[in-house]
Amino acid sequence: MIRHPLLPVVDRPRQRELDRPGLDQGQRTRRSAGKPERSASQSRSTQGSGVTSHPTDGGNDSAARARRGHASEPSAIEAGETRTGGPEVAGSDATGAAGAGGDVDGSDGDGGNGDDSEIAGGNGDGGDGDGVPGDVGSGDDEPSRLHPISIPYRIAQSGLRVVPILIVVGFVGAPMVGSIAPVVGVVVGLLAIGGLIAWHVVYWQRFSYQLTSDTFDIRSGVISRRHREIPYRRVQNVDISRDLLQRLVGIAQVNVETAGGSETEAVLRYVGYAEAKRLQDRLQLRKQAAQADRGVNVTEPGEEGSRPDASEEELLYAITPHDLLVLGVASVDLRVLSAIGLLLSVASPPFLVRLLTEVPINPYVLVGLLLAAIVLVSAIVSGARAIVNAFDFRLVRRGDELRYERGLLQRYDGSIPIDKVQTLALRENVLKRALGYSSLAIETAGYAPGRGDANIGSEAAVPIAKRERTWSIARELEPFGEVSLTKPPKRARIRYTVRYLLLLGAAIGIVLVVGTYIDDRAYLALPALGGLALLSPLAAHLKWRSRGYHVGRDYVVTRAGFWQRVTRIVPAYRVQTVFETATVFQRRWRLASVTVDTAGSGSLIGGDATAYDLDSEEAHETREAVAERLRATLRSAGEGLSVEPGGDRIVDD
Amino acid sequence: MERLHPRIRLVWIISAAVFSLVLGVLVAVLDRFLLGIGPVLPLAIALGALVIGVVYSLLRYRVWRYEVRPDELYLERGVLTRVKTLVPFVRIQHVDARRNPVERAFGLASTVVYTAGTRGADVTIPGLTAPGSEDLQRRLKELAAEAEGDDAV
Repeated sequence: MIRHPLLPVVDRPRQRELDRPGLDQGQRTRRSAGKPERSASQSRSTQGSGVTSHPTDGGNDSAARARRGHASEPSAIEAGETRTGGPEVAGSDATGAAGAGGDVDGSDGDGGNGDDSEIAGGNGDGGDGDGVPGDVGSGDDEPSRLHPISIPYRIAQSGLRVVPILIVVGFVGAPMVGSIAPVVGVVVGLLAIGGLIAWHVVYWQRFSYQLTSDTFDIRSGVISRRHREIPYRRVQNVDISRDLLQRLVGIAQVNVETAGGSETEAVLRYVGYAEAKRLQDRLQLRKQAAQADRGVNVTEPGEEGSRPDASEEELLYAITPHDLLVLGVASVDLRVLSAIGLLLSVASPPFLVRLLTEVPINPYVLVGLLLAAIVLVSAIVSGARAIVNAFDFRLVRRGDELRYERGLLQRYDGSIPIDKVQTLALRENVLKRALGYSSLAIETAGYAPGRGDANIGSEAAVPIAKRERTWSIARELEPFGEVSLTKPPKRARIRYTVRYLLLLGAAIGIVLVVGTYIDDRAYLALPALGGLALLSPLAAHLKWRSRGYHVGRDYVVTRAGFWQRVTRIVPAYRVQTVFETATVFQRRWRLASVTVDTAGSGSLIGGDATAYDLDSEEAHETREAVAERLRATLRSAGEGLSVEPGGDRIVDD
Repeated sequence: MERLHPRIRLVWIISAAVFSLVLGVLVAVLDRFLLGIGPVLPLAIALGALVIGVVYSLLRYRVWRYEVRPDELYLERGVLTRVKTLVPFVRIQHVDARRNPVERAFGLASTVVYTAGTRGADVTIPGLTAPGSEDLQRRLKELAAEAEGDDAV
């Protein structure tokens, strides 16, 4: 039995305990019988043949893929495929199906075996009678259970949460009970442990998930039962996460996100890692099939090129240690900076004041050192965070999805459905620009912070890479070609200069007031403010230079920001609403800004695609142009030009 | 370009008045316990807020316009920040006609247009007559259905 190198060798014996007697033989027979059929019938399958990868381009991917050991799945829906014992996806290597497949069929491999609502061998891999990965729409699978290791794992988790409470209760209660306290303590402890064990065993027992022909079903609940059915076409992405301990033990948590909202999200805690990958693949295929059924496209399944081949993995990007280092250096997360700054300002003004007045160092130097220290600390913290998050980052395109893997402490295997991509955001802060690097993030509909995962507003597709590379990867996702950005009119620079001077003027005014009436040490700030005022024309120019926009045939591109330059690429067919805004001040200068709204999640991170400070006339024209481009692209989609399943993606010609 | 019903000015002015009243009371309380300047302060502030509120409501009415264009809904609004919005029909998810108690008291209603956008997720046209808002709702629904995007996202 071949195992993925990272997975411990467990389960075989335990699985046997849970299996029904006689099952093993049955399924083994079936499996061996099934194998030759499968190999013959799947034209593109390479399982069992010792080769795991399809030829694709991209330098290191075959090696990488072999290391990963993900078996490719035949993509085409072969309707007539019979269900046989399931080969395994992850961890398969040269011996492909047979080996890894060993795990899978903890339970009855086949519908044929009849019994089962009773799930034998809850080894996460198991339970799926619908063996062949390429076999997508052919109806119900057998229900599966969570991985049995999840029981002790969850018990330990709950235990860790409960123990402090028990200790507190114990300390409080002991004096009350008096001399029999130890006995009571032991009894209570045993009861608690017993209760936990019982609960989690029952939970495991009562938790089952199933891939039916139309929906992904989950039945759960110890006391109040819950039956959730998620239609495949509502499935947005399937994410896998594992922390250190889970990786050690070989289990993973699966999150199924839907585009409908957070309540329909499903979480499996925990299944085997191999099973998790398998689920990811199966759900993707079934989702694709479901969307094809209801889509505009009438190409037959199985037709070459009709749908992106879900079995082919194309490695788009894998982070190198060098890139990771650059990321660590160049990531300055403003949130960390502001958090530390806030902390300091709240926690220690008296301390700071004392420091400034009593320490015999020039206060300028001191303030300078302090600021430098804050910046340094935040840089280190955010750099470390970035490195931990982007560790061993890989991005592959697999069929109609992008898959990524990342993380050092917590490892994520996530997916980004390409046809839900709303905006691409290329971020280059000052440091990255100086070093020649960029980052790419993708905003998708349904990944919105408010509904579901509040931490992820947009998904990082390329944490960091050389600028050329990042841009070319972006172009692979959305072929927007070369863009030349139109800058705001020159008078905008004057506007910014005036703005900065006004702000500094206000600050100087405050300093003067404070200095005159409260403490004349405040005057010390004046030279600094004066210096900043002298720099404002330069700052205005830099700000002006960073801004720009372009309305192309199929894309709207906006760019803004000096310290953090963000270029957003919005496909025209993703445009929702178009705003033209003009503040009182902008109107004075005959300027206006145009914002292109999408269904993406950007707004929380301040992520609208906005073209700032256009000439009013130009803003008017741009507004109309964007709306017109939206209509045009949708029209050509309606006329049947290369529409992919679901009708919401246009292949640029 | 269509304008809102003139009576909406009254609604806005009344809510400005309520706001000034509340503000006046708060300042009065503050004054009583902390500042001790005298009744002049809350009165002045309340009056000031009221005047500003009235002026703002009138200006707001003057700016507010909307138009049902061949392919999109166009709105113009905003006093300090002038916002011109285009909502393509093909992006309209659904349209509500609704009336809150205040609107009902004045015989007015609003129509709310929902899209899948984040910033423009809902766009409200206030100050319509009750039949007018339902009319607009029906009209927009028809136009949205005609425009018929396959997937509004």
